[in-house]
Amino acid sequence: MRAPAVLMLSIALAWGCLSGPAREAPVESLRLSQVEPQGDPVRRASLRLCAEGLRADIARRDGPARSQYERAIALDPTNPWAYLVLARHEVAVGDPRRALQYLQQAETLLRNEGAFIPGVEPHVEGLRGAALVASGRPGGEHLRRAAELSPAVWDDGRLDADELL
Amino acid sequence: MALGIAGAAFVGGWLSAGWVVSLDGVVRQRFGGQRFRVPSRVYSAPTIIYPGLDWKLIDLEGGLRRLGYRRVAESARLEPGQYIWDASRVRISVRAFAHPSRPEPARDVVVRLSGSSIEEIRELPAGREIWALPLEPEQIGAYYGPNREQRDLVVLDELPPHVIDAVLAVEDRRFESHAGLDPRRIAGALIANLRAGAVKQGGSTLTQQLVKNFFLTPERTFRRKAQEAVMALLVEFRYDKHEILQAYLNEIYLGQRGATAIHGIGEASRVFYGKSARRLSVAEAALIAAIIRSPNGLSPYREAESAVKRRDLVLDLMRRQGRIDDAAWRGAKAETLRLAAVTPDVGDARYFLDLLRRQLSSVYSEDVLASEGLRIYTTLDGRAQRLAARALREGLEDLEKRYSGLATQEPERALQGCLVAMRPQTGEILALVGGRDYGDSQFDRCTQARRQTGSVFKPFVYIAALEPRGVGPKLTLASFVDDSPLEVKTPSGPWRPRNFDREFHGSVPVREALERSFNVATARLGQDVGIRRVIELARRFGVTSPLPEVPSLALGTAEVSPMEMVRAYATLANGGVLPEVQAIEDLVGKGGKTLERRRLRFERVLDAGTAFLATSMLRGVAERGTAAGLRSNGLRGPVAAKTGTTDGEHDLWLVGYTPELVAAVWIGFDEPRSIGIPSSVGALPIWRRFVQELTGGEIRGKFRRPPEVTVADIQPATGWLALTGCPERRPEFFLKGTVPRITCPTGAVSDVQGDDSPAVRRRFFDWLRRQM
Repeated sequence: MRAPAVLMLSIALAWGCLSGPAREAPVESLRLSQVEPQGDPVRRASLRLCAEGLRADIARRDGPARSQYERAIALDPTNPWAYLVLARHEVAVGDPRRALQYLQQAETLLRNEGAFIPGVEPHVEGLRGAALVASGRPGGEHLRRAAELSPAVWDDGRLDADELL
Repeated sequence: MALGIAGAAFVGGWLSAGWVVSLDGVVRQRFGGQRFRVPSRVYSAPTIIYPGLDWKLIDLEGGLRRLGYRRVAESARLEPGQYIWDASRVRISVRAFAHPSRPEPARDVVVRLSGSSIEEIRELPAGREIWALPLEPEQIGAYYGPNREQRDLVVLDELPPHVIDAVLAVEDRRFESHAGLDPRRIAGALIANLRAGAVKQGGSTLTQQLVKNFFLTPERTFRRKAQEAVMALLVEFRYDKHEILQAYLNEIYLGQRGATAIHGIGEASRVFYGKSARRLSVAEAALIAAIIRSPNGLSPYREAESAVKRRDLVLDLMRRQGRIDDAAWRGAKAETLRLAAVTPDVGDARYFLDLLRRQLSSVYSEDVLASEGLRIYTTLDGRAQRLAARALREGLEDLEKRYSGLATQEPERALQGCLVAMRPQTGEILALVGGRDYGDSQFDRCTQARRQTGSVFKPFVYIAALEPRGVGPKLTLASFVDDSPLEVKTPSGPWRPRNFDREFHGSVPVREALERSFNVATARLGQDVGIRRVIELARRFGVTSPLPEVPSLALGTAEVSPMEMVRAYATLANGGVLPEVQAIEDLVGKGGKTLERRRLRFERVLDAGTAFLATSMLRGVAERGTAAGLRSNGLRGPVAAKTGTTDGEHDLWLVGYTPELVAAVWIGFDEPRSIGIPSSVGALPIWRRFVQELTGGEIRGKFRRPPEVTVADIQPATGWLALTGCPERRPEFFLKGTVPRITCPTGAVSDVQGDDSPAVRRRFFDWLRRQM
């Protein structure tokens, strides 16, 4: 009885290996409004500053937007979302090198918090790809993965502020 | 004879004309160019209040007072810069904050309080909820010129008419009609002074006063008086009344604030009332005008009664001259004197100001900083700075009381110290106190001094051993290190390190070696890893001081600044990411344009897993080791720290961090000599007090375990992996793939990794093959 079961398991495994990496099902990318009510008062205040910043970004007020993000970090320096929205801002205003630094910080904090969940991954992948491409480095793979994970947001290869709010 | 007289008159005329022309040149040069030197002001980071914040901990009311806000009675209608405080709520009329990229509007808000916590903040009258309310940044200093003049320039057209009326009523009622000199006023003053038999009344017009302050020395000679008169006529000839009055209102001296001279209506308004001159009431304007005659003798802070008496005189003059009506006169006279609180010194932020000046000097000269009126917004946290200054000052005083040999009457030989605190994720300096008293010594021991670090350097040795490079790490946290006698050959002879307790401890767990700061075990580990590698690691962590490649480097014999150490430890708090040190948020020119804007910069220099292991070891130091005293006052929450005491107890260190704060304390004499106590007695209490007061004793956040780190039980006595049946066990952190292979209780070798490492996958496929 045991051999057929093992055989089937082996076939299944082999099939998985031969057919290459599975195309992952799209996920619903996370928005700030979904995490905004979470955390202690410091985190909540910090997230709300991030949201204010995104609104300023939507209104194309770069300076105030960045100020809000920086304040959000000052209030809660361990808030990964503050670095993520700042990374998005830097990509949008054309400073991809800086964006990559913020993104690294965001990813580290997200992973440490156990918050690197499927809904976040397309943002991190996509922003990394966009920043790499903008800085003249190969980043297409990251962009493709972001589009695969979250086509609704990343099909155009960019993350608008309102898509994160 | 006649010819001689004519000749003399001709020559005299030419000389007089030449004199007038030269005075005219002086007038044009000064009036035509930059008229005022406006010192650059330096501000702290803004305080942000939000629901859930402990308003008692941050001393909200004290903060409002320091910003010049005034508490008013409950019934009062609020004006910007005022607040009403009752049992369960605070209504604040928040002033507008002008800034090119983060302006804040003036708005009335209500802050509801529940116990010591802020329950909610709402904007009035609409009731819109505010999630985070930034208050204006606090001024922490200014870069003055040699005269230490402070001014806040005003524009005449923006001032309410009663401000101008108050000044003209008492200082120069015929200003609009005279040509620089007022013969009636001169005659009146002459008669009054003759009657009194002394100089009781001045005859100078406002233009003459301006000329005197602008161009001349205060000496009382006929020549200077003549110069003043001629120059007043020249100023009136060349410039219109509007320009002259505006210059006067910005130039006039209005008293002292400490060592700083207050010049101009704008600055006086800011200092006395904590508001813009545009918002001065009639009574407030009259008081400022009243003290022009004798700014220090009539200081509203020291001589309130005299100042109010003269204010009322000014109000009488205003009414008599028809500048205000009866209703305004009555209202102003009834107004009680309400002054803004005198802002206390922001915890001796002058060391920080010096650091900024050094950083800015490559772009902005001393003269530009003292005259261009730049606004420099910094990262300094005003509250953290005050607490740091107090913790250091009182900590040193306490040590001198307890150990009489440390006290001295000579300030230059006194026990010194410094404290620097940083936000690890961003590298922002939150507090910097470079010495116990800036007045006695301006030398900043946090940024300008390099001192032996002692054991606070040891973590570099352990990290170098824990970090997987190529073949894997030399150590895990289950490893043992050898603390038996060691001799290392050096060019200057054999080096034999000793422990603080003069004992050798044999084979000791790696955690214990660091927690108890064993020198011999660390020195041996340094030899095993290689001093070059330790140096390379310290360099990655931002240490730039010279690091000699000698065996004793492992024990902290190199001289490094506290700022370098705090940044290096910030890297650990930040999960292996080195932040660039930030002191400035942005710098705004006098036209309101942003000239500089900081950008956060960081670089990963260590993998997150190893950084976490290092933090875990340093937490052990704070829990059980040489820094265990950090907990003695009830400080709760995650802390990682390392003490450092150098040979002969010349330098005492404590560098420690929480998830959101890293701080270094150093104590020693400027000319190194023995302090006679270990760092756990000298530096630790200062660090503890600072963090305790800053956090309220409850540290926020967690040192989170990154995915690269796994947990497995080990047998403490052996460091073997503890399986079922192992008599003793405790959990330990490991980088994935480095869990011990020898297992307890059998001593057999196992590949159990408790994770998805290649070994686990290999075992799975081995099992599958066996099944088939």
